[in-house]
Amino acid sequence: MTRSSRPGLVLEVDRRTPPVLFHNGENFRLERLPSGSRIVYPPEPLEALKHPEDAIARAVDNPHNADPLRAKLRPGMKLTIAIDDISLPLPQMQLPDARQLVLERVLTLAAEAGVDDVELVVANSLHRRMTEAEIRRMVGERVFRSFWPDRLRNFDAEDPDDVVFVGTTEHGEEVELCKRAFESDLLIYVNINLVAMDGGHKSVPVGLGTYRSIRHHHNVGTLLESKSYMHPERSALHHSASRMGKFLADKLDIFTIETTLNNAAFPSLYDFLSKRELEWSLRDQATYLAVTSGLKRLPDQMRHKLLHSIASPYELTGVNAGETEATHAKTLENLHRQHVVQVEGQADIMTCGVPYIGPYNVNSIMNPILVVCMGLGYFFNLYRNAPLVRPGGVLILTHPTPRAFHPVHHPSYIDFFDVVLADSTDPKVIEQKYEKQFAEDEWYRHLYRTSYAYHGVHPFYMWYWAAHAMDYLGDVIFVGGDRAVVSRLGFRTATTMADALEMASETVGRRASITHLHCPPLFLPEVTP
Amino acid sequence: MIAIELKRSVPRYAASKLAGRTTPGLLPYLAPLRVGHYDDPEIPGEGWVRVAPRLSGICGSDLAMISGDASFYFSPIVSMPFVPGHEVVGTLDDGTRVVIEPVLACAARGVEPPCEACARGDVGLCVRTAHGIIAPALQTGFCEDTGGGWGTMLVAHESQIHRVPDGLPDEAAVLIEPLACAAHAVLRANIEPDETVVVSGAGTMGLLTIAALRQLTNAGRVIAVAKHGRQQREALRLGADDVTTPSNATRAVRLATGAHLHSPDIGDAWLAGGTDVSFECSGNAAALDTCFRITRGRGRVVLVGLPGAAKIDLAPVWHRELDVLGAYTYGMESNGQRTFDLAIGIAQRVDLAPLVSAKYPLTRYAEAIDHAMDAGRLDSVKVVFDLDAK
Amino acid sequence: MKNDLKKIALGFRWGRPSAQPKSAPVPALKTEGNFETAWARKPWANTARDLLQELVLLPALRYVASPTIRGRERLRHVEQPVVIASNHVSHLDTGVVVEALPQQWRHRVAVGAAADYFFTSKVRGSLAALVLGAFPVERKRASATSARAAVRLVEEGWNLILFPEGGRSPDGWLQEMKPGASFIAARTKRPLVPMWITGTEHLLPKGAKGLRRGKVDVLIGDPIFPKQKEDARELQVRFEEALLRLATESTRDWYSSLKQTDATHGGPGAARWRRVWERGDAPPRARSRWD
Repeated sequence: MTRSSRPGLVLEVDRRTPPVLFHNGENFRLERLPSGSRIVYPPEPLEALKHPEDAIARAVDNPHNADPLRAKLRPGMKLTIAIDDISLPLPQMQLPDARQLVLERVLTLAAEAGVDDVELVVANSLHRRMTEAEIRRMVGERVFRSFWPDRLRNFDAEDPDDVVFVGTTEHGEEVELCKRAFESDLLIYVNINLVAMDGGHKSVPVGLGTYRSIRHHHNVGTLLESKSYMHPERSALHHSASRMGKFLADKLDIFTIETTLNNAAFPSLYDFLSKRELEWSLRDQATYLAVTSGLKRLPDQMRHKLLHSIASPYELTGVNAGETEATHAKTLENLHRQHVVQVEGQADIMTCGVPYIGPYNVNSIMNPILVVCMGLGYFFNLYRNAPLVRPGGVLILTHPTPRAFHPVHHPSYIDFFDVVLADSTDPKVIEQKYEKQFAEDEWYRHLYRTSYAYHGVHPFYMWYWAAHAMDYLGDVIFVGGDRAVVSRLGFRTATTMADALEMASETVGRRASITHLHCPPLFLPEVTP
Repeated sequence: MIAIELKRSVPRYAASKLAGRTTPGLLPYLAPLRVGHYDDPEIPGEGWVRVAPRLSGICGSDLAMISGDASFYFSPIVSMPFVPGHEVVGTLDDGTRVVIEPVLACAARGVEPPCEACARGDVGLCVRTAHGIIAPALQTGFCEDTGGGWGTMLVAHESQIHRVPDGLPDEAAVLIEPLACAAHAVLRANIEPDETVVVSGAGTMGLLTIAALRQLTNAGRVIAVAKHGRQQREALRLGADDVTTPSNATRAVRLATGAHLHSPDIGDAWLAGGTDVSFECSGNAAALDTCFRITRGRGRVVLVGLPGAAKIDLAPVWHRELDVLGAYTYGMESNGQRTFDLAIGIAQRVDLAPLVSAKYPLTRYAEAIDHAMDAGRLDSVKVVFDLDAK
Repeated sequence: MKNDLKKIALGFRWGRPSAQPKSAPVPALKTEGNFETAWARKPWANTARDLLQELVLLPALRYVASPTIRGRERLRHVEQPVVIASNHVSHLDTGVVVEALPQQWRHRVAVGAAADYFFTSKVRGSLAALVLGAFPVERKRASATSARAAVRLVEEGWNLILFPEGGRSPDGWLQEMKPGASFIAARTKRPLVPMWITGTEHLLPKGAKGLRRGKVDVLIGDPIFPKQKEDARELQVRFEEALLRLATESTRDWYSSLKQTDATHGGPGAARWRRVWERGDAPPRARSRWD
């Protein structure tokens, strides 16, 4: 069946417009926006590749700016395959995972060529280690059984035996990398490109990098100069990662395989999440009512479980392989085909709902710091050219912001919230005063290496991610947030959307223009200011 | 004189003990207290003088006595009925402003020769507090014969009298007695330079401990565990580096000391490693339990607040080989100085007067006691009786 | 839950056609082809409709509109099914057409109704299907799906009522006509029956809030039989001529209509008020509704 994919839409709200959906943590809410507000809707999912396996085979046989993969493989060589971790895609995709398809093709070729020394490394960088079950799900049973546990593993950025200092770029950035990867004859990176921030030179130096290396671009100064990091040409973060990537590419044979997905983020039961409200059928309305009231009544644990068990029917829209830059250029082209929506002009107020899932709480809890990262880090920065909201404007987010942390996954977040944020919410102050202590804390290091904890420094990066938004915005208001938590985060709480708009008028006046980002599913507004 | 007297009354004791749990607001009315006109206490012997209290503090131990939570351990060295109040600034008949050192030791009791402790100057450890010319009592404010701070007249032995330096306000002077306790506790712990110290509880004792730590030791990082906003601000003012709340204390100490944190299957988390010294100043059993869990191996836990009977897991004390130190009162410190003199010195250097949050006349004792019971929540630290007020 | 329900019921205009926000693109009709109305032609629904029409709808119509029906004799020798095509000025027209049909024809009637008007809401669509025997017709553009559905209905023996203007005329003048009816007739080789209604626009014009009583005139034209090789376009020409003649016959007389027609497409091509003005005729009786 061919599916017609309509482009994104900027809808002007009038009295005839139905209320609009907001994600609201582990639930949803409908809000009426004032007449004249604009709602930016994502484009509909592009038609998927009919035969993804064939497309993958074609891509590795006809790579961009590189020899075919077949030609690079030979007996006796040392081959390492790095794989994007569980932070992609969101939510997890229905099986088979794109990475499984790519890995199976690559490994078939490697077997044909008689390569024995193969190792698969999850490029989790400073993210938490993936559990056995998560890895099995991602790579598929066949790959898992062949390699687990000795030759399929998480990367450990704190393992002195698996880290090598490569050198310093011309900008003085230290490059440290997974030793196994660096000492291989060929490093293949298997990527899933969900948003324009991912992939390219960000894959290897970051995914297989260490704190010493990553701190050169994951810092407040760089992120303030990344406008936005969804627009790589304008992102200081990407410039730095690119320098490192090029530096590495001179010393190491890297073969990048990038996949792009359409934005079919939610299975058909949750159709109402992806549909424009004005096209909601009675069934969608009933589903909304049933889902929201059901979620409200479920105990926390079950609600978590239910939501995190949602797997999205993502499908591949493209596969590209070869030299990193040439490949990534094609990938971005493909991604923009799916994601870009043209928006005219910036608004005084931007509204957006923060969903139950983000890159760092898959099978976990979205804690208040991750909420800030989602709202001010990801959604605010979801633009090309210029933000959806004008400088000094107001961002209104919906999320209940409970004071809930996953004790295993996010131990340093708890202290970041209780100790660091109690002292200051200024990213620069925090960076200077606390980052080193958290990054080098023995206990966090221990938990990162042996348990399933994010690295001690990770909450800082979440906060830096939001630095540009904090710097740029006049006010941030959480609708329905926990007052104590939100005030600790340095923002304001409103009980209802109407109150929030009222509060926003202090900053932007009574006749403020409003733009609602109807997200997720993810997309990328290109804003002409 | 006008005074508040605490009587021996089993039904009222039982009533206040019950009320303390259910309706704390009734407690001051149910407690075996009576305000009224009494005869001035008589001079019991040579060397005794009359002191007219000006301000007199309400101490945690007083409250424990009133609510029936005090340990019966003390009953042999308390003589009922008595006028409470041992944190006293007052005037002698000639108008000299003095504070009294309330311990009723050998000298005051006319015991000759003095006991071994008194001979050393460790009056706090006197073993003759049930002997001599006055009724048994560990301190003024628990004695039938001397009167106490919650009355307009008391008698004190000249060994108990300390002159208040000119210029030191009454509000600061009234805190010299608890400050001396704090100074004594701090010196008991033998703090090495740069040691990390946790002060658990930030009522009067906790805050004064922080002040004493900064004045008398070279402690490194001082982490105050304070529940309420005013307490947290005062803790920082008096020299704490960090403040944390009771629920976050373990994690905050872990972060500050770089220890590892373990979570048992049942019970609170504990640290492998932790702070060098902790001062438990709240008298709360749960807080003491936390102190045991966050102090490093062979570290010291100092009991500053008056603990009652409590069920506490002592496994960490055993496992960590902790030194648990009591710190009752004062006397002569190892450096040869009287603790009270040290305290008077500190009071002159640190502004303590803001810690006195409320003054009440004796006739409004019920409100005063209720306020003192809830001081933290009411953003208050010390509640005192103002004996000059009508 | 209750609040949410209220918000949804109001926000999504339950029981009413969904209003399209001004800046929204023309919706891809979810109703097209998939608003299932086949059930409305099942025997039980047919019986229910007959009862409703005979006992409620048509008596009410007769009371309100007192229709005068002329030309029914022109249908004497015509066999069912046929495609009936009428001008369209009011919601009452459907009822009037049904009333104008010979008694035995009324039992097998399907009415083409605007998919984007009647079938955007489940409640409204179902009601229209049950009471009028409506089925969705795509009117904004030629749609293979709705044409196929209509052809199938005729083949199954249903008389179709269509309004080739694709919507009610705002001012009473005939609008440009869509070729759908001719297409179906040409395809099925069934006769096309033109009808001309006057008067309903005074009783319940487009956009009116209330209904008033009045007199309505229906004129049935000669059936047009598609020729063997005739395609939809040629049939459409004949049909349009016939309808215009019928309009003239309705306002003047049959003989005049043979000589010239005066209800040309779209009227005098001027401002709306002038077009209304031009038609001249005032409502026969101005009385409060339901009096």
